[in-house]
Amino acid sequence: MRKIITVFKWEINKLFSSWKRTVTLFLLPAILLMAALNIFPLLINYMSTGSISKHQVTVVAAPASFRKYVEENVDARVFDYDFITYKEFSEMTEDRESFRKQIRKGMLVCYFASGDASKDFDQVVSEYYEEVSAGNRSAISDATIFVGYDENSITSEARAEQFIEGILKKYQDGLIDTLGGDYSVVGSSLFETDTFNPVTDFEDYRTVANTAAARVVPGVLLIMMYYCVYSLVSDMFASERDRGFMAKLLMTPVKPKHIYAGKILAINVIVSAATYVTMLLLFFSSWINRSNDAMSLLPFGMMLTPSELLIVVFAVPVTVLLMTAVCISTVFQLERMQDITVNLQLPLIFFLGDFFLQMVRGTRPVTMEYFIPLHNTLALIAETFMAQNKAWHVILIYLLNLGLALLILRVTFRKEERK
Amino acid sequence: MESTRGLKAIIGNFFRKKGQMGAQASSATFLVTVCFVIALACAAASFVIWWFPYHLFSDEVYNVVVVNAPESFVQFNEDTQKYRDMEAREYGDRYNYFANWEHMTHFEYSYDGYGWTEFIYKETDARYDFVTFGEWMRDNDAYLTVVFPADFDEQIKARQEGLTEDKPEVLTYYRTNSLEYSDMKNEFIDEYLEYYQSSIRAEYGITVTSVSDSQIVHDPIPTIDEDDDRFTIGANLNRTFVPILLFIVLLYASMSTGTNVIAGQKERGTFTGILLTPMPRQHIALGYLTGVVLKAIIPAAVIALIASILTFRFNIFCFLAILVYLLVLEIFIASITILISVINDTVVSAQTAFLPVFLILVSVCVTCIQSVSERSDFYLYLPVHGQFYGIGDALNGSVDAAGLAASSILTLTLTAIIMIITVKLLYHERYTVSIDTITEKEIRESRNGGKPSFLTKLNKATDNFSFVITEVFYPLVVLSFYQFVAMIPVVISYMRKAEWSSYIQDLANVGSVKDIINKTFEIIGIFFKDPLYLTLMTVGYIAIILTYIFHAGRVWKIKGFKKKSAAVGYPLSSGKHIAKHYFLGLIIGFAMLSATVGVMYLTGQISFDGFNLNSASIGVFALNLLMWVPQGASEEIMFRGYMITAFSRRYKKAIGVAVSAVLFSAFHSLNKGYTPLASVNLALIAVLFALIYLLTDDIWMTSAIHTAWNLTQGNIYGLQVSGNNAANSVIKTFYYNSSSALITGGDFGPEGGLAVTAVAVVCLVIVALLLVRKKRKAK
Amino acid sequence: MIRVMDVHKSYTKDKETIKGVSFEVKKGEIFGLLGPNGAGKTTLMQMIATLMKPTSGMIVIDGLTAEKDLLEIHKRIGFLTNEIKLDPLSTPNRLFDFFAELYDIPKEQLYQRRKESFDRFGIAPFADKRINELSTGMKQKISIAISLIHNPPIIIFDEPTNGLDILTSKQVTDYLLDLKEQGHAIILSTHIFSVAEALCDEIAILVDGKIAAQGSVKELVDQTGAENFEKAFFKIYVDNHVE
Repeated sequence: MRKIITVFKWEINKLFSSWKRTVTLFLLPAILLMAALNIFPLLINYMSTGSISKHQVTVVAAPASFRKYVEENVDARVFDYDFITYKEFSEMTEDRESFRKQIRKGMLVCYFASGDASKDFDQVVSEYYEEVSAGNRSAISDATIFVGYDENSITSEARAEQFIEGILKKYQDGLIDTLGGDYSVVGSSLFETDTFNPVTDFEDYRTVANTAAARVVPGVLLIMMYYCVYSLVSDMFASERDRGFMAKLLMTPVKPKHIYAGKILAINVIVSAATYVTMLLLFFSSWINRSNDAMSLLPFGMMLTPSELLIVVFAVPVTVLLMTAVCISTVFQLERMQDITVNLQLPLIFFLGDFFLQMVRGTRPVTMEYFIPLHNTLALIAETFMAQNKAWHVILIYLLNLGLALLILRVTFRKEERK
Repeated sequence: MESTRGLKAIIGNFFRKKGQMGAQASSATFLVTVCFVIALACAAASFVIWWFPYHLFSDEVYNVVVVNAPESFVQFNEDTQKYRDMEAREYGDRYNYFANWEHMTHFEYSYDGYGWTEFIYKETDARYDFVTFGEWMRDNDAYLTVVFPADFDEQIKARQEGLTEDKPEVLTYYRTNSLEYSDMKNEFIDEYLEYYQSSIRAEYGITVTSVSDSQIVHDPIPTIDEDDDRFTIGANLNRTFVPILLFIVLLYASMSTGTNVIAGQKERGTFTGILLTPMPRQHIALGYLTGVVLKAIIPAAVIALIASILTFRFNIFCFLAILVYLLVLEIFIASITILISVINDTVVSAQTAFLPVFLILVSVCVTCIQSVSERSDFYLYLPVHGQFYGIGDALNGSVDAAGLAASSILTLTLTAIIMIITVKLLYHERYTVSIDTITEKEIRESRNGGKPSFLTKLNKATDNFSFVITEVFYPLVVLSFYQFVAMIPVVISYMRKAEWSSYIQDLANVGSVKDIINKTFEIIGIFFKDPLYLTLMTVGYIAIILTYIFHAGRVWKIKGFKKKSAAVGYPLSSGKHIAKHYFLGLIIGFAMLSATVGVMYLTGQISFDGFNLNSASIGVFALNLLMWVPQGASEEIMFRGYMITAFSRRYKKAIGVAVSAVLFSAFHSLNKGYTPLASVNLALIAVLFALIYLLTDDIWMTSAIHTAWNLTQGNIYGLQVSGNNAANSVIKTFYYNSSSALITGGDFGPEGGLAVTAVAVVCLVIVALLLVRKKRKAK
Repeated sequence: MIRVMDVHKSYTKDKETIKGVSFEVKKGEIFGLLGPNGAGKTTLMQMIATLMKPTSGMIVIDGLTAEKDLLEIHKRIGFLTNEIKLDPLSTPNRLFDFFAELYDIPKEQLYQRRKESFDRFGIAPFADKRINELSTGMKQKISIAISLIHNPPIIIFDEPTNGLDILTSKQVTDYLLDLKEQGHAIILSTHIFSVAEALCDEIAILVDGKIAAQGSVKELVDQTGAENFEKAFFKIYVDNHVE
């Protein structure tokens, strides 16, 4: 046991002997990932609209009530408003191509129609309420708000949805109070629900953020883990064997098993720590990202309950051990350095693929997936973020991965001893 | 060119078989590959799977806790019960999904759980007590708590009768252990509570249950003509998947060969042999570049060929365009790998360095996945983007000649720059024999001892900066950490109290920073009467002191505790000495504050109104007294014992005193009723304490003064301590209405007024004189 | 043919590894650099082989300097280090072909050249084996054969017999003497006295980056008044080494 710790300390010290290496391993990938996750939505925005500032909404014939709402509401400032009249709008649409181009660039059009050219939107609504309170049950309002967006772009559609849900609906709900006149007391809702409830707000944020995180975070963590394991195994096993240092180590009166165990322990501790740093950075980046853009990968408010956090935290070293076992087995089986690197890099491509798959996939995993080593960790972390984790999944995945890792290591070292 | 033979030899060397043919696969990698293939198949299956994944469900809950349920709601629930029973009968046994197979294939979470919802009624006044609500939900298998105001029905009635405009507010809390409950909560609000509202309306005889004053219409605007582009799956794949695949193949192939060549040879030591041949270095670089390009382009070209045949409209012209795009892209990627290979000494480090490039390029690919209409034309002319779009377009049968030319020229220009850098580096010892050396110029400069380089200056500046930042933020972090930790149990204990709800409700109206500070101090004022808070804070302050003592030694070990303690101003040498200093300090502190109070009394600002203490509050009073001891000590260790020592070790002592005074003042200024005078006074007091520290060489005395000051102020005279209202005092003091805030400090407490200024200045003069005398004596 | 003029080399600011070395090597001469480990022999050899640039001073090879005519110099020198560095997965034949092309050796001469050098060292039977299957001595012999593939007039050997058995050493030293007869200028560094004594016409003793003494074996022995060369070396070392 002491020997294992000696080897472990040696490896850790080696890593920390150069701050450059430490930074490269611990911070650089994490920071790069965080930057990528934050820049990604900006990039998408920029590429689709040509600007990274707020999104423009062209408001045609805005009634006074809407202007007032936009001015008074903080939430409404997410968008940039350009108020124009009917006349200006018809001039704008004359040139069909240039109008299309603007729409393609991500512009939304919010068109207030009253159904009667002589009347304003506000007028139509208040007249409607007057009729209703006068007892006319069959009163109809022609007031309509059209929201125009690019039919051929998912981004544009998502943004329109954001505009309608976040701003227009609230504005519409408030109309009864601002324009309802006598009817506002009887007709509007009798009670309010959660107008101020920080606890539920917090939970709602978490719901949105964790749903997004379940698509992104598991893949990111797995890529990160494999990347670190791969570089450490090639350094601690493959390169050392190539340079002959491993032979020197094996000449010492320490059981090879213990030397390997020390190295594996070092790899596990380092990689787990690096992964936790990444997790922490992802967490921060979620809490910094207040923009909650339609395309954000990690919207505001990612949160795990302590038990969920524990599941993820323990899944990391288990998976790292399995990855280490796979890499070590490759290193011991092959001789040529270039074969080893190609073989070690190949799974990285798989993880990348798995990451993209998880991003686009909307379905829950089928039972079989919990039995596929490595991939099951991704499923586990994803469902933990969705708070859908089941105890038997956790136990199965931990035991399966751990058992497989130990089996691979055992077989590998047995073979090595026999050589 | 005579040495083109060498160039050819280097390129040829890439294709010569070395030992065995091709790469070997290990069984572990094979296993991983199989796993991922199965995983992919499973993921694909999950989209079309027809059986119900029963194992994914079964622990969901459907009950609802209703707090302070108004009679009308209870009645409404009873009325709806029969519908729920009906539904539940239809769906059968709750947990036996197989029994109701036909429903389960399209199972979804539903807010009323297919009729299984039961309502559990509870009562409490604490509307924000989410802890208790959580317990209730757990105990009763509920996913939701709905909290009504206690007088809900009365409020509704009052509003309907026009007595008030206010609407009652219903609060909801839901379980955290599945995100599905979030949707279920929303459904419950939108549907069930909406029905409930209609039922109340019906009671009041309002028949219109819904109004529709306006409608919102989605109006998707087509931006491209339908026949412009066929949105077939194949065309989309050609624009997304195939280019990404080609990129990954190129990147991967270049990485495995490119990083191996120069870095690998350096690692094996065979690179010098090549360097010493009469080959110009640009030929060496070019040879390797061409080798990597040729080796990587072959698999990519094969895939491109297969892909373009699979489009069923194979066009040789388009295929050639794809080849050109691939070739240009590969030359670019290969030049990057060669550059990285030259910079690094080992294969592993080269590959590690290449990985970010790999990931960045793949991310760029992902950002490129968008419809033709959305992308701007100029991306066609850019490197990487241009190739990505170009390949996609060419696969779909259209080639933009201008884009092809422009992106290729741009990319090749970039490549040329990279290659020039690479060749330059190949003349550098650092990258040929991997040894760092310095030039004659640098030696001359260092010998002259001349001006330090920009880098050294920068290092020094950042060093100072980081020192100051660390020292300044250390107290802040330590203090907030322990105070925060001590606060948690107190806040949780208050969460369950009814009166707390109103404080949370008030938070909704908090706008400015001033509001927040006032509210915070109001709340802390309540805490100050709470034994739990006082005890925890006492423990917290002791923890701060210990943190500092251990921090002084930089190592968390009990060993050498005495030495470490002395380093932060608490020499533990002689008990008598400590007692003397501490006792003297208590007296001085008491005297100083009494003098302040005296000034205020004499100028007619305050008056005393007898004794305040009664037997009931004596316990809390004692705890309060106990808390001031570590409180004073912890602040002294932060600002005096630790900070002044740390700063004077590096800079002059005066800087240490100044910095600690400014920070001390800033720390205490963030209080209710702040005035600029308060900052000045606090700084004066800080300087005074610092001088006493220098005079006595330890902080026993200042700790005692600090403690005595706060204690006398808060618990004897009953004044505010820097805005904090201490609760239990011996004497009841009140301000005259005519009192001048300039002298008394107003809401901030005496520290904000001139009375303290006067006392502090007098003391400062005395201590300064003593210090001068001590220095003279020492000489 | 090789002129080293007041060469200095520093790796760090405060320490000079080579502190002003000057010497000259003529045609048909074997020049030996003798010195303890860490004296700067390898650095000096690498500088002569143009792998490193001197911090100050000048090295002229056959009238050429590395700044101006790097490739011309490369055509004229053969460099061999004591570490055996060959691509482990290649074969002697393939390496020979590869380097022959890099050195632009006419195809007509290639066969002849290969036969000569392979016969001399007995490489022929192993010509198609992988390098990592060969013995250390064989690898070193192949290294020598490849380094001298272009028959360079100037040969720079850094500890050529290090780690070789007596037989192989003998082969190598014999070969060097042959080359000297043919008029090559040879500069070799070593810390083995017997090699230096047997081979070198001129010896420079390098201590702490400076040439402490220079001359033929006889001259050095006479200079110090010691009984033999070994004792002379120790005397020079002790006199010049500063702790």
